[in-house]
Formats: sequence, C-alpha cells, structure tokens
Amino acid sequence: MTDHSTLLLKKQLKELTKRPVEGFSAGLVDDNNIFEWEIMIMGPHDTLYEGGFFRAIMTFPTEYPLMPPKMRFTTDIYHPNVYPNGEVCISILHPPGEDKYGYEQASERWSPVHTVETILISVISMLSSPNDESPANIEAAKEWRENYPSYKKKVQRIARRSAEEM
Amino acid sequence: MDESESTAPQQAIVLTIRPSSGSTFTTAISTDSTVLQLKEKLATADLPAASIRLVYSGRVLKDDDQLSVYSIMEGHTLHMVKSATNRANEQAVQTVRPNANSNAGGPDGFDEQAMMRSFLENPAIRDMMSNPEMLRRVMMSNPQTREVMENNPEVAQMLNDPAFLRQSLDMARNPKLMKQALRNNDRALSNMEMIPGGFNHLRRMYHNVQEPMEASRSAPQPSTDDLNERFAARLNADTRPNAGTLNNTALPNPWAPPPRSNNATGSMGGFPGMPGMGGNGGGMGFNPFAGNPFAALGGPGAGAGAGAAGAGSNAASGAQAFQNPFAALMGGQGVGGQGVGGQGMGGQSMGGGNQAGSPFGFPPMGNNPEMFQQMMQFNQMMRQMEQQQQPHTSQPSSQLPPSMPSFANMFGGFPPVAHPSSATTPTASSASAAATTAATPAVPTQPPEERFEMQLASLRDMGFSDNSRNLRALLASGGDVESAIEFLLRM
Repeated sequence: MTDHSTLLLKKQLKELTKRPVEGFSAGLVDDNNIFEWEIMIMGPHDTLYEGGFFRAIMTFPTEYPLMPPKMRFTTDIYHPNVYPNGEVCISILHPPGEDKYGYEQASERWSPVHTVETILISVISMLSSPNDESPANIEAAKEWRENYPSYKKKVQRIARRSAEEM
Repeated sequence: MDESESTAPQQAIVLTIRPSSGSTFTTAISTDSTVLQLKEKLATADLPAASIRLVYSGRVLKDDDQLSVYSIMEGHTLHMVKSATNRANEQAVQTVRPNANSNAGGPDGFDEQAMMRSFLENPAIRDMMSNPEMLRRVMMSNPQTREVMENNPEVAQMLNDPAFLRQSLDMARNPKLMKQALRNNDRALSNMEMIPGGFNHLRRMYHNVQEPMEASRSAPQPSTDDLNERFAARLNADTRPNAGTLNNTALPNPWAPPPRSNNATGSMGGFPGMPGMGGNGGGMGFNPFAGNPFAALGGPGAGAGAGAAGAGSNAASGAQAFQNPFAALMGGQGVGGQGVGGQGMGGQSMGGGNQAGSPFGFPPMGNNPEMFQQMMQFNQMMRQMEQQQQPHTSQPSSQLPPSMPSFANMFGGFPPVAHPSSATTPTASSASAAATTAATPAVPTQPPEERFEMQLASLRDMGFSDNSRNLRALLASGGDVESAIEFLLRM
C-alpha cells in the first residue's frame, strides 16, 4: 500500500513540477519524505487574498489515496473555513464513510480520485467563496456574514503581511 | 535529486516561466546563476526585477540563492508573481498616469469617473482615505472649509463622521453603486418637489446646507447677465420675456433633452427656481453633499479633475468648478464631485434591495423606518394627487417629453407621475413670476392593485395575507416579488 501511495504522490509531484497549475506551487518539505508537501498558494486574482502568499503543509497518510491528506496553513490566514491553527476545513478533505458533521453527502467528502491539484483548486476556490455553513473559524464566519467591510480589511491586511514576510 | 548535483555547474537549462497573468514562456539560464540574475533576465519595463517573485516547489526563491539550491532542473516550471510589497514604488507611476489620461480622456464624463476610480484605487490614496483623521486634517487645513464647518454644525458633524467619509469614498470607487445612487437621487428629489410642501422643504434644505457649501466653493459671484444667460441656456430657456409684460409663453422645461451635451445624470442640476446653483453635474441638485468638500481630495489633473467636481461633463460649469477652492486642497486635483455627491443616496439600501435611499442624501434616514414610512405616505399621497390630475391631462405640454423615466418611481414602484414644473426659472423669473402655469402631462396609469395583480397573487400564495402590506411592499420594490418579500419580512 505504501508503495502505491509513494508512487502516486511522486507522479503527482513530477507532474506539478513540470506543469504547475495556476495559483499554487507545490514541493516537498524534505526531499526524502514524500508524505509531507510544502504548498505555496498565491492569492487568487480579484479576491481579497490577491497579492498574498500563503504557505501550507499538506500531510498525506500512508493510506493515501484511500484516506485524505490534511492541510494546514503555516502563514496566518483569516478565513471562515480555516481553523485558527491553520487547518483547512473543506468537505473533500473529510474522510469518507464517517459523517461526523452530519450533513455532508458522501459525494462531497474525500474520494480517492482527488489529487493534490484538485484539492488545491478547491482550497483556492474556498478562499474566494467561503462556505459559512460549517465554519471552522467562527469569529471569521461571523464577521464575514455580519460585518463584511471589517472582514475584508482584515483579510487584505493579512494578505499584505503575508507578502511582506516572504 | 542526485542528478542535479552530478550535472556540470555551468550547464544551461531551459525553464518554463508561468506569469500570474498571460501565457507561459521559456528562458534558458545556467544552474549556477542566482535567483536575482534570473529575475533580472525576466524583468521588463513594466515589471522591474525588484518586484518579481519566483515561486518553485512551494517556496519563494531568495535573491541570493543559486538556482541549484532549489534543485531546479531542465523543463521545470516556475511561477512568476508580481510582488505586492513594492506597490509603494509603483504608486508614483500610477499617479502620473491618470494625468496623461485626463488630457485624452476628454469630453465624456465616464472617462473622468474611471480616472477618478483608478485614482482612488491607488493603494497609497486608499490608505490615506481610510485614515479619517488624516482626511479631516486635510479638509480642516482649508480656511474655507473650516468656515463652512463653523457656521454649519450639521455639515461639520457630517465631515467629522469617519464612517461617512469612508462610505463616501467606497462609493466613489464603485461605479455601479454611484450611478445608481445618482439616479435615485434624481428621482427622489424630483418626487420630493411634487409633494405638497416638498418644494419649500427642498428650498430650505438648499438654503441651509447647500448654499453655504456652494458659496465657499466658488468665489462669490455677482449675478451677471452673462451668468444668468448661461443658466438660462442650461435650462433650455431660449426666449427672454419682455420686461413689464405678462409672459404667456410656456415655461421652458429644464428636463427636456438639452440641446447641448448634458449627461443624463445632470438632470437635477438645473433645478428651476434655484439660480446660481453652480456645478450642474452629477445630478447633485440639492444633495447637501453636492457642494462637496471631497470634490478635491486629490485626483488627476486640475483640469479634468475639477471639471468632474463641479460639472460632470458640462464644459460650461467646468469653468465654475475651476474656482473651487477645494480643488486646490491636494495638489490641485479634483475627484469628481459626482462620485461622492451621490453617496448620501446609495449609502444605505432599504429592505429588499430597494434603494429607496433618502431624498436628501442623509445617510441616517435610510436606516430610519419611521422616515421610510413617512416616505411611503408621501408616496401614496402622490398617487392620489396624480389620480386627481388625470382629468387635466389635456393641458398643453408640448415642451415636456412624453415620458420622464428618470422621475418615475421614487420608491421603485410608482407609475410615471405628472410633473408640475411650476417653478420659475432663474432668468425668466421677474416677468414670469406671475405666470407660473404648470405644464403637466399626466400619464394614465392603472391603480397599483391592478398593475401588481400577479405579484400580489403570488405573495398571497406564499402566505403573506395582508393585502395592503403586500401592496405597499410591492410599491416599494417596484413590483419585484423577491424584494417585496424581503421588505415584508423586515417590516
């Protein structure tokens, strides 16, 4: 199993290095550990996060692709679907079978067909359109809903800071 | 990975560069060059090396590192991103650029708006604008503004409110909102004017709020023949009544399509009976914010900028706008008064996305349900009035256009109404004062119950049983069921 996941991840890494997808760049934290990826998400255009550089670590379980990876932002980020500790909460990263949130359909959860690319595309689209049904950062969700101008300002400040820290 | 170490240090590799916008391209470089060297290679006139960011393998490349450090190999792709931190440097370029545009951007007011917008989008300006204290200081540094503020506590209050300032500027940045607000303002004012007593109210507002601001904006101007003529021309008054005789020709219609290029939003500017109102642009007629202190908060080129401030696109009042002392506040640049002037209206939208706004542009009004209810009563009153007027539709009204879309629907839903333009025009004033006949075309309309029959039925189906409330909501939303529902739920 481990061989399979290693192969799969190596293949994806190679593909992404040669032909990266717009909006993010992916590499390994440590070249000897294929299960831990370093991701750099470039704030998508026309969103509040534009101009920001968000670093994240993606950790794959050895059961990959049967189980989803975890993704955690290491750059400060303020978003309704990202826990204050940086962990990303999107339905496709939730393990299949176990419906601990009670409302997600199986089709919305992890499936082995997802690749690093599809996950990151979901994350990027999450950045521009938060899902406030299952907020991970309640404060951010509340502000997003009730005081958008202030949310906007905060996010833009964070995006700016993330660019300066590079 | 071992492969890269074994390659000869001088080896040139071909890299693919993927810019954040535009298509990818390739470049050849040796692996022992530094990241900075690569950046210099990629730099263009628009994009200096200092503001390039290269991202590879989840990392931002550091200038001093060699490419081999990142084990970049033949055929790999790097992301090239424009750095955001260097905006401060770009801003110098940006502030110059609109100037050039303004010379070419010429006669049409939208160019000016775009220009102003791009100016306001400028990060440095935005930073400054978001600092209300700074904004206030800028305004206070002008003796004329200070005088106005001292004499008019209401105005001072307004200018002291940071939220208001911010809103105004946000507004100016959003062209759609701005246009909408200007339109609403036009409508609201024209409707106000027709309400019994409304005209007087407007006049009072003008005297209390707008006039002092206008007066401080332009040097005191004696009423000269030349000026009067100019206003008359703007109001389409081409005949001059003979002194001492009764003027029995129809009064000019200030809303008729003007012979000269006057943009649509300017319609309220030339409100009758308000001579010397200055800046005939942007539909700012009575908007107390029109004599707008922000009109000058910066902005490109004194020429076009100031033109925008006073006049929308009307060249005639451009001249006047030039005298705007505020225009000098910040490097002699004006940010079209149009933009900020509209703010009062659009700042708040009422329930149901219905931008009923407030006719006077006072932001708090929009939030005040009582006020809104009063408006609704006005609204009903007007409908009655209009029904009474229907028998008189035969009155000659050749000068008035058959429909005045921009005046219909103060609150969205009400039918085109008769327009008693009973006021005297500035130039024709003396002789025509006696002859204030009103040319009133009334468009026959169905009662709202009939017009909104379908919508009412669907509201009933949805469980809103109170017919009169439904009707009110529909009137307020201009017949849009969804907005009406929202309105009903908020009531």
